[in-house]
Amino acid sequence: MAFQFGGSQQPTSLFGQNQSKSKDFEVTSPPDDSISALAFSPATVPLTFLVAGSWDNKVRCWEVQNNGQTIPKAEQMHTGPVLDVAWHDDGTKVFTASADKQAKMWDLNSNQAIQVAQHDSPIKVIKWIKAPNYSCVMTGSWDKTLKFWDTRQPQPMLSLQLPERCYCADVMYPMAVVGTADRNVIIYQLDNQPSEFKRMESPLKYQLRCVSIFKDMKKNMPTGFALGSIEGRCAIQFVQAQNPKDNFTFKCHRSNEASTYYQDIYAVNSIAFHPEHGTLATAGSDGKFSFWDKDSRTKLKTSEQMEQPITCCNFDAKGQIFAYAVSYDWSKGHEFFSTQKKNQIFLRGNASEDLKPRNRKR
Amino acid sequence: MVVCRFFLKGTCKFGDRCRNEHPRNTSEYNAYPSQANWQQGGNQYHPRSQDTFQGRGSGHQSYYNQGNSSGTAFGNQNRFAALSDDYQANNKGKGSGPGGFGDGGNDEPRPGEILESIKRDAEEWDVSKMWPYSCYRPSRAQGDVPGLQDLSPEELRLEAYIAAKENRFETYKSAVNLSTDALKRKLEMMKKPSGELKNALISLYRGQQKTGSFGGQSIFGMQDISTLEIFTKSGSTLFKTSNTSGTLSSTSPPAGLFSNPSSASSSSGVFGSTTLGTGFGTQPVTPSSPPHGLFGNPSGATSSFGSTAPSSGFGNSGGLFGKPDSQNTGLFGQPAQTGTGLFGKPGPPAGAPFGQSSSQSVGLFGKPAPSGGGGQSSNEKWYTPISELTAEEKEQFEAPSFTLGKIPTRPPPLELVNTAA
Repeated sequence: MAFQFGGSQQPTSLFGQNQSKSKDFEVTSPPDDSISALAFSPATVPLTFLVAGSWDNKVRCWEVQNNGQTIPKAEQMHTGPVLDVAWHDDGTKVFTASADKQAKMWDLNSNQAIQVAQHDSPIKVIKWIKAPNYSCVMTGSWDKTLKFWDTRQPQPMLSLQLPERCYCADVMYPMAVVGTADRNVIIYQLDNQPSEFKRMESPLKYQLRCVSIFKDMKKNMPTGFALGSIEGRCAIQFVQAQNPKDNFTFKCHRSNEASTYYQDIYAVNSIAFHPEHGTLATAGSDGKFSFWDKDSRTKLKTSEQMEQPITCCNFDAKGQIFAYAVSYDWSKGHEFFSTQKKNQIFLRGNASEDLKPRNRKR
Repeated sequence: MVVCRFFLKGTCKFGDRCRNEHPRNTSEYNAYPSQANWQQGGNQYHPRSQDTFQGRGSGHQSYYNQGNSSGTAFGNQNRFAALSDDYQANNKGKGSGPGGFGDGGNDEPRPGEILESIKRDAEEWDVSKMWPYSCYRPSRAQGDVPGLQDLSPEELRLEAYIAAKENRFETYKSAVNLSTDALKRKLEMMKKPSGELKNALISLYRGQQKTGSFGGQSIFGMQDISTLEIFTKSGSTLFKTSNTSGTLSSTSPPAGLFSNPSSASSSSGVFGSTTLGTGFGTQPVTPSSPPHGLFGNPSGATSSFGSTAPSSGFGNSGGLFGKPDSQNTGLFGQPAQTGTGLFGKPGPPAGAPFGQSSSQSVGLFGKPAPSGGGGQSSNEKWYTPISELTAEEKEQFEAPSFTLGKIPTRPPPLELVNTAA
């Protein structure tokens, strides 16, 4: 069976292993438990690396080649499930946040990891901030604090109080957005020093699950963010909306019941924006991912159904590869958890084409 | 509800009595100029992604690519807008922004509509397999419905992993069941609100602070216990620092009041009162491995009530319930020394926690009872045969009260159990 990647015929030296129904490439030696975070190396690095954090306490790194093949490179352990990963902007280090309340900096060249952060509760999000006059690691935890760390010192540079447990966050200099329990959304501006810019309530009615910042394509500056909730709904929110109607929500990841009866509703586990086109991908608990164009407010594509929920998704730095992880997200509790089920990461090439925005006629 | 076609034409003869829905925000709906564009845009793209388009004509409700019949012609859109899925979705109270209530832009929706939309949301939540442990804010309300707490899947999962590692998975499971039941109850109450609940929900829309107006109680009643508290009781250390479990830092466990740190009623109040019939007494949320006293450990119930019992079970600090003082008598109305009395007491509230928990306590009853056994474990597991007792244990059981330091770790034999309190 020949796989297509980039539209050209592919040598069959690829994965003779598990036949995935789709033509997406499966990453070799995936983690042994659910994948909590995926991140690609930044554009500064010539090769493409993918790092995945998992509930099996490990962070793994693969090199991703142009033909879709992945070569496992290295891994690191935490003493608790890894909840988030982030790359340093120079592409040599990876930051990992874990439920063991620590965050580590993993130097890929030396394959050493040192602790750089400590919280009182599991750390849910970790991001790297690169500002003109400073750079630091940002960690958000269930202990309701957001801390900023200079990796060389054991004390945080700055510690901000959150109204509730941190559930999700995203950073795109100079803006950072944090979503917490009880539907709080806090926007920070990162010039000079991270400070709170605005605090608001999410427009969605239920628990927040993920957040992702998008930028204005022309100005190349972050202008807003997308929020995903457990209710199969996403909100697109502009920080400064010219028109209140610019902000909107849309439903996604719901089953196709007749409109009069209640549909099955699945959580939106992850949102990722394409770096070049500004279109977005949402990954749902229903095992599908979808591509959307928020400016023309249309859906571009929905994938076929995977066997398990899709826990996270991300694009590579150039926007050519779309990676998504198929593993159990605990959305149905412990009864549906099985160690027998495979945890997989798929890479979908040709992402640039798939996510091209539609021509807008406004 | 079905939208009334006659009302749309302006000819509905029932008026307010009409059993169909009279949407009032037709003007607001039309105010979205870009809606038309979406429809048009949608039509263009069908050929391109036909194979993978989901929701085409299938009632998939979203602002995106309706694909339904009302969108085919630009000119028709406004006229049939009310019949489109999207419009109905708006009127069901699930729509975003304006248009949720059909009241023509009034600031305050009518009470009937509020309750109706809450009821619909509750029904949907129930049926749709949504994640149950979430906060909830009804459309256009000023605040969240108190009593519904956010718990993310990751937190729950971590809790499960830790519980499995610490060998208290059964307790975790029962805590999960408890939470699910609690939520179901709340959803039922939202679907059929009592008068008090109705007022509480309606006042949400008027922007009253939740704790202020409800006096710090859950609007779902005194017996309500928050999800976080349920888990903390089951031994979770995950939520210690959260404000909602602020009562943890006090020695008295919360009396079933939610998210109000000042709800620290006296511990005897907790135990002696009606909570027996609710969260605490009947539910097997008790022991787990970290060794503290079972109830009211004098060092401060940081993991609060019932969160822990040493795996050696009851032999810990003088009697079954921790302190051989009034607290115990408050709990089940029995003097502390008759720890054995607990088992003799025919009430399931007493037996159930231990029948269940004992399955976790290593060495207590030998074999773990089946999960969810609760009061269904057979009696044989609760009592040690008298022949198996050591002399010291026998002596202790025969004495009127236990001596500290010599408290047996196994349950008494049936023969020595005093049924008279």
